[in-house]
Amino acid sequence: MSNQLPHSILLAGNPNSGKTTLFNLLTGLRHKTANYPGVTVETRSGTVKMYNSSSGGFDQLPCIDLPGVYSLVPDSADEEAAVKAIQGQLPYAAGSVLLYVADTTNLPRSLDLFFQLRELGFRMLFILNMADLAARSGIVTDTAALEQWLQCPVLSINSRGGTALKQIKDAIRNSSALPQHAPPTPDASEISARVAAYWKHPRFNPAAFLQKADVYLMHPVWGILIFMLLMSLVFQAVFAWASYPMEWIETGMAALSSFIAGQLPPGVFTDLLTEGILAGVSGVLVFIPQIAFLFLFVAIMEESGYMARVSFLFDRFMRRFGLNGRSTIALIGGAACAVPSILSARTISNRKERLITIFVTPLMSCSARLPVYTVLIALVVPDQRYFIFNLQGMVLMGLYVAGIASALGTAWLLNLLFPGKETGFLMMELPFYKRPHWTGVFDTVRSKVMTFVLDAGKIIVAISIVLWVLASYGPAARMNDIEKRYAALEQSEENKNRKAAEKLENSYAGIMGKKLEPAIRPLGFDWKIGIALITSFAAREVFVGTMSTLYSVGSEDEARLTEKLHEQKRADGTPVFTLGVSVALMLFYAFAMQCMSTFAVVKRETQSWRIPAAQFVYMALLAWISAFIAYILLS
Amino acid sequence: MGEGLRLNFAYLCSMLLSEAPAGKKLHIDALRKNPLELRMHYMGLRPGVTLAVVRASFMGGPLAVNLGSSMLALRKEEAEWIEVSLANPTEIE
Repeated sequence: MSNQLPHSILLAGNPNSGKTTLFNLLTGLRHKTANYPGVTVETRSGTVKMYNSSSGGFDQLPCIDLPGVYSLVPDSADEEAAVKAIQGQLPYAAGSVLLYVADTTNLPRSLDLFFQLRELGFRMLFILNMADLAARSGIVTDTAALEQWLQCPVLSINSRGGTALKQIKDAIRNSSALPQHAPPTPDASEISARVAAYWKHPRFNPAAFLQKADVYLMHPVWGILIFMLLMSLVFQAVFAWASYPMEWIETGMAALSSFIAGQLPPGVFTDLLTEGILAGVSGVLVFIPQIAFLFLFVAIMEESGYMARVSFLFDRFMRRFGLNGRSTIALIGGAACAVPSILSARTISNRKERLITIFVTPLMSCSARLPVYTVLIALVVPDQRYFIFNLQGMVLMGLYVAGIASALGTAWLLNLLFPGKETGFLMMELPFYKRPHWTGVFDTVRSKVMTFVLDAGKIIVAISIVLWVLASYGPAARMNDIEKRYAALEQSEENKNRKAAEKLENSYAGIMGKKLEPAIRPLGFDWKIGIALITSFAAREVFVGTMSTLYSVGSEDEARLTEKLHEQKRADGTPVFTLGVSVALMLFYAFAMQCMSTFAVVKRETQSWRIPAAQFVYMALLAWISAFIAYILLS
Repeated sequence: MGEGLRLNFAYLCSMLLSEAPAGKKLHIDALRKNPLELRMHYMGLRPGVTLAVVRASFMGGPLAVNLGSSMLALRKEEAEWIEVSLANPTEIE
């Protein structure tokens, strides 16, 4: 009978139709996102709670938010994936109801997809979304006439309003009476005539949609200045605000580690748990505050509509390097952390532009490089001022500029070497500014952070464990020898540090460092630096910890470390950390790919090992060559 | 879509969207054959549509156009595929 609920609910419509907000409304928090790596396309699935009058209880109906497309005739790889997702639902068309969501202010454009879907046999409910916006713009829609013509229920709603949910659920409840055989699709002239009759919009005002904010925000000069200002504020926030939770996490994990070490008997398993696994997990978790903040700001910029303006402003500049205006946000984000930035490259539909963006983003100087820069700059650059310019600050800025220059330069090179097949394009909608929907924003942030933690996290933990094993274990004979020698000495703090240093030196990691030495000696590096380079592969910040251990500095006290490094001498009496060596090391860290998270994310987004491998090799070569040149010039 | 769609109206001064003056009401006469024509159609750029340029191309950069119910950003080259003419000022809406 007509009280039967459909088996499932589908949501379809154009991009920017507010479909996803409606999906969130229907499913509450009961949904998850499935991303197709490498394309912008996402399908979200969840459940809608509906009262079932025949059973007297509440059913959880599966609900799928299909990717937004303009038509079922695909125009790009992105749209192909979207269309496949939609066609995948065809077998279930009989038992399901499709909520077609259209932006009321753009009705004419929305009808193409509607008719295509109806022809395929889906049972449709037409939802005119953003009724509030339409009313404000003076648009008047004759919903009754539309219902008659389209032969399906037409609901005019505002998905942020209170009554929308009830209206939609009622319509779903009555939907079993909907026919599956559609009347023939009207031809173009009939469509235009009917739309003109049923959908009235006010006289066209050429300046109407240049919202006040856009006068400045899209201004070629002001727009860019405002953007720079905004970005510096965001970076301040990311660095300053994120540092608190990051410290809590580090302290917390350290405390947890000591607690566990205290509870369990000493031995291999305990060490593996605390120093291998927990350290690895801590390495992943400590990223979260920064990534979450970055994702938050990016999500706000996207939801409000500002992101489109950024792409607009930078498109011309970016194109010189084979990038798209949309690459801007990935590159800027890369200065904080490459991981979320690479994920944001999904909005670039052109494959070549997207791949180039992903390839060069890690060259931007991310925040993990800062501890390394800090120590090395303090080591060799005098804390002096020339007029208003602080020398140390200048060098730091120089390193950032090096990052930007190498990213753009590499992009330009890649653009030259690889011909693209599809035409790149910018053509996109500049949405009205709107207040971000906070639930939606937090939901996006949550799901992106979880993706990072689970995917990249797995690899980071695995590598951390491997590195721990390499750094803790060495050939038995040598290790036993060290144990014996130190057991005989006084158990002082200093001896403990020395013992740790010797053990590291004779571990597998240490042996690898010594083997690596010939390759890095031209750069002025010794085997101790070699060990630090190896351990830094998990994450760059590990450099400070490793150096501290190697030079027998108990804690990760940067000032003390700098002192110690200053004192280091080679066999022939010359200092190890000269200007040449330090600058070479700085440049090495600026360019080398020393981040397992980035590697993992790139692999996932490009769905191949080749691209992250190529990145790794290219960046290693770039790092080596620039370090070499620096060492030669400055020694 | 063939050789681009044309409507038989006798408008004055036909030009390319990339060269059109900002702030003036325009009509799209035709879309020249291009790789993005399907997308243009679905985004609302069709012959007969009324639009205006709100931000002209600055140093070869993209333009912003107002379609009445939405705003689009287009690269200069993309706008060069769209033939427009000034709307006749005595035309009845």
